[in-house]
Amino acid sequence: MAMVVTPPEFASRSPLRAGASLPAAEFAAVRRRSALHHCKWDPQLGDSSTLAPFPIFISAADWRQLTRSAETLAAEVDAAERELLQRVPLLNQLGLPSALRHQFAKAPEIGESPSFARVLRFDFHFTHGGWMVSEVNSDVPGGFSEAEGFSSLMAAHFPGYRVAGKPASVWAVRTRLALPVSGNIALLSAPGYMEDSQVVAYLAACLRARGLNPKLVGPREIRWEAGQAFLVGAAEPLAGLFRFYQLEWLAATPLQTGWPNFILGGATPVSNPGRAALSESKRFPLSWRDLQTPMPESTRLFPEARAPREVAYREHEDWVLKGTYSNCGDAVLSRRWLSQRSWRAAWARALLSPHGWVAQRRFEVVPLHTSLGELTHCLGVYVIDGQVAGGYLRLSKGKFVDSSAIDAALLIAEET
Amino acid sequence: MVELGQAGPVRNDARRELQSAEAAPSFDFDLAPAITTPRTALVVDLPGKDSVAFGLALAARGIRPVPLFNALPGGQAGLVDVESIQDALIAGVDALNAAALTPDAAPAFLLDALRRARPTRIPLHRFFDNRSLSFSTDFPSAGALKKAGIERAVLVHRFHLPVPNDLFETFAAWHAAGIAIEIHDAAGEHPPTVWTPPSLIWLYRFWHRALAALALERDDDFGPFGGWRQGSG
Repeated sequence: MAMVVTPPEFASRSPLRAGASLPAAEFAAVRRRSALHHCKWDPQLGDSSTLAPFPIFISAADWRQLTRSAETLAAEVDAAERELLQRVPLLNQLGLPSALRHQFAKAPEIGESPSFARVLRFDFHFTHGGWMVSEVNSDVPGGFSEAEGFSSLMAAHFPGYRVAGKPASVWAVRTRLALPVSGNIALLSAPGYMEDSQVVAYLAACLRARGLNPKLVGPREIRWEAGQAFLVGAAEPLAGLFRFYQLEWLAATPLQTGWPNFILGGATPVSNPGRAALSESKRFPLSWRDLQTPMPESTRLFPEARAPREVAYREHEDWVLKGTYSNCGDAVLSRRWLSQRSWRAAWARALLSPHGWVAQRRFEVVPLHTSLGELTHCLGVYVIDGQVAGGYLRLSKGKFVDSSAIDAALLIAEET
Repeated sequence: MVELGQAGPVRNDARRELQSAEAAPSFDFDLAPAITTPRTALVVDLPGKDSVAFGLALAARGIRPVPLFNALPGGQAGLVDVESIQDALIAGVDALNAAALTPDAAPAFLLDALRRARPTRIPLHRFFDNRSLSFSTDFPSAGALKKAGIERAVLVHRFHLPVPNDLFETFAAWHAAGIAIEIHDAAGEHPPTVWTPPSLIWLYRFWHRALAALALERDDDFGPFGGWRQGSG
């Protein structure tokens, strides 16, 4: 079954190889189990499956290389965030919403809220110049079900290959080690967004399987009292709070909702920590040149980033524009997929609102040849509490990977 | 707060009639040949568990039910009773397995007719807005249906109601591709009618988008959808 679809022109270049598609009946069973057992509730969009019927293979040696890079990147990001918390003037480079900026400015005086089970997901792309990382999903990375549940189901059909890891299980284990078993753990999301609800439902199942007490809540069901988080109506404080709700969204709500406790002065452990919003900013790389923290791996793997005003007009087409707090490629703009008029308008917007955007040097991704045709890829690598915990890919027929991409299992060749 | 039933073109009397159907006992389904004829895709738009029951009755006749209930359960505080739909789906597993459907079975897309409606009585001081809308991306495209041999689509619902706003986009696209759209009463009490898109379809599109953006409950502090709201009593 582990056939590989490998076009000769890419065979010698990319460490990624697409496997053959599963037979329709077997893949239908995988999709059904993903939906019913692994909370993959959006496996179909119109006529398209959002799950790839084939896996993507990588050698164990290449995976080890990615693992080393991702763990180094995570250590650098963590150190950079901690330094930024103490160096308030540098926060100006990040384009934080003013309410967030105001809270982070208090960090040197007020202690950071406790945290547990830090998750980051780095987006790797194989280019003609080797691996590059377009961004780090630092604040609320999702995709746990795709990386663990769906990928495990696919791996069962490909002897000789294994999943890259089980990030949901690892996160649950790290949570189990960090928090008392007896208390309630709230998993916060915006309940009207099915794609978010499925993430917390999956993680809740992983916690429940380890004897913990997860509660799925919306922001209205949390109240804060003297820095401690409670479920509304409960007398006992929460043991921990997992936030699958972007901090910049929470920061748009009144202070009375207690959101600053996610960052500073809180007593309830949170995952991820509030400072994740600093590296979530797509302008985060702009701060590196002023940091004392060395960022060699980040500088090597991330494309060059500049404030839009630092890019000469004649060079515009060599860059992409990214919204400071954009998700799933919803504000990634390039001349390659915009008309000349729209491209000019995008730059005008970026120049008029410089803190809302960053320019990132464009790079060319080596396409993957698959049974669905040539696809652009993005390989998300999870790092949890400093160690790589898994990965999966998003594939797109378009020029870049956005919310319409399909998910593919990443399988590692077993070493003999 | 905007009430969907008052805001949209759906008539108030029709809405009340629809809501009263939820409390009423199940009716006798009309599975006339006009509904179960080959090369037909069905869109079953009945109150939750009736939609499931109708789908299971169709499954016994070789038609594949496709649940499209895109809502979260809200317990006692939920505006929409999703739990009874879950119960009906679970209870129907054996019947579905016994149906032995073929891979090329015609589809019956099951919707909850109460997905957008507001109950006449809000039982709690605070309630959870778990209403939802149907989008064209929930369904196959006209091209996919035609490739599968579908030439006709039938909306199955009750009380001779107009086509719900959130199905306009879907039906208009199917109709434009040459798929005939008909409306049938699930109880067979009203004669079937043929549906054609209104001449001002763009206005309905605008209206649907406005509904999606505005009319689902907004939580004052935390944004749209899935909000907790204060009841009026």
